Amino acid sequence: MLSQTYIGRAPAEFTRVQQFTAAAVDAFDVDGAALTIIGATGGRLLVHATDTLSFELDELQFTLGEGPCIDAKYTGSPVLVGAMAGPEAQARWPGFARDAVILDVGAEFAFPLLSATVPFAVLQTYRHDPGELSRDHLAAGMSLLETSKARILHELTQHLSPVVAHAPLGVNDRTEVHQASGMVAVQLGIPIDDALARIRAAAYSRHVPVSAFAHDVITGQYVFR
Amino acid sequence: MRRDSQLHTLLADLHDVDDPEQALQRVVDTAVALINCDASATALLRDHTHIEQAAFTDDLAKRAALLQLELDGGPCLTAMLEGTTIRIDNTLSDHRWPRWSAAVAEFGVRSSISVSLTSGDPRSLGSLFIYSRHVDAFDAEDAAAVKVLAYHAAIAVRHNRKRANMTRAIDSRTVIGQAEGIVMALYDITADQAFAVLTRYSQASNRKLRDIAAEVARTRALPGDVAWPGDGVGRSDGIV
Repeated sequence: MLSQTYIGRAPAEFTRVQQFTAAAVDAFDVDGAALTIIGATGGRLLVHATDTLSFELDELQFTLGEGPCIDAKYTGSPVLVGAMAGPEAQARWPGFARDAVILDVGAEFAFPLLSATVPFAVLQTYRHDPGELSRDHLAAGMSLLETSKARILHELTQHLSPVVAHAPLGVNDRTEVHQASGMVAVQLGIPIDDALARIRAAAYSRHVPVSAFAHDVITGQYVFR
Repeated sequence: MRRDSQLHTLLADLHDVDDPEQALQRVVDTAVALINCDASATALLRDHTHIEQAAFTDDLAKRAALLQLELDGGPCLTAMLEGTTIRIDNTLSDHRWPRWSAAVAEFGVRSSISVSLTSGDPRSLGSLFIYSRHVDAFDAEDAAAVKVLAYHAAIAVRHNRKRANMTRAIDSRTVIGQAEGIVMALYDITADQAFAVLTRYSQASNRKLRDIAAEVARTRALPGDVAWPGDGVGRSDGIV
């Protein structure tokens, strides 16, 4: 049985990110928060998660390739889900919403951090209790976001810019998932994107996070045929 | 007093621009809004000879800026090299860059201020230039304001580049991971070994690692035109 390892806590140098996510939990009055960077080519780098469930939600969206954070990144607007168990959310993200509810997530609110008009990261927050954000909490949270984002970007650029691809970042950049995609692409003779889809599907059907399943592919414990 | 608060607002806007090109345009637009001049130009130079990027508020400013490269000298280049602020009160009587001064005086440039785009880092990114059609148009206060603007412009440019580099780096990590996986499966080697192979291909063919990785990810094979490092010829069908 593959275990869910909490690999979401940022290394010490990401002080601003850690402060920001903690402050966001207070400002929005939620139960947890995470800062994640969604890349253009399918990558998803989790910079920091305040708790295990935030990490799991991030992982779930990465496994399924759908969810509020992804929508927030691509629309450039906040995605506010007060009723994860409600028909709208369930219809919009059939896989994700169902599993989020099983994880006892009643509400999720995702906010893109914008540099001028371009999203460079997403703040993911969740609450066990369903319900929309109150106007006051939304205002407080958005204000925090606006005043923090420049410093957050600065901290991210300081620590995430190494040109040498193999330098360990200390954050969860899911390198093993991408490596596993490459291996499966060769094992099955299919394009990389299809390989990633196969890995996601296999992880999901086994009820394990895709990062953990990817590790098994890399170590040869699981071979696609 | 009024200029200080104006400057503050304008500088805040400067940092809010995402696109590097737009950022440079914002710099020259800010210069013209801030100081009573006719036009402004800014250029990011690499190696003091190659213009990476430039922005202008009018064509004369552009010509005045570019002429300095053609004529091998001018206040902007000197300002950049020496990290100084150079004010010219009358191009007809200034003899420091005679060819340039004569040329620009002819199309109406009489006063100018040139400043290095620097922000604490000793390397200059380029220069910022304003001009007027009137003689003695600028004073020490104007020069100070341009210097402050140039400082913030340099920060904004560096900031923009860093953000662009960060997002590019993250996308690179994805494709490099994919390429590693392909090589790991093809040759039954570890991730570190696969990375070493990709690196050597990159060095041997003088192509960026990211580009090699993108090709490997697309073709599911090592590039076929380079000898397998150390062991003879690598075949693109993956059989060693």
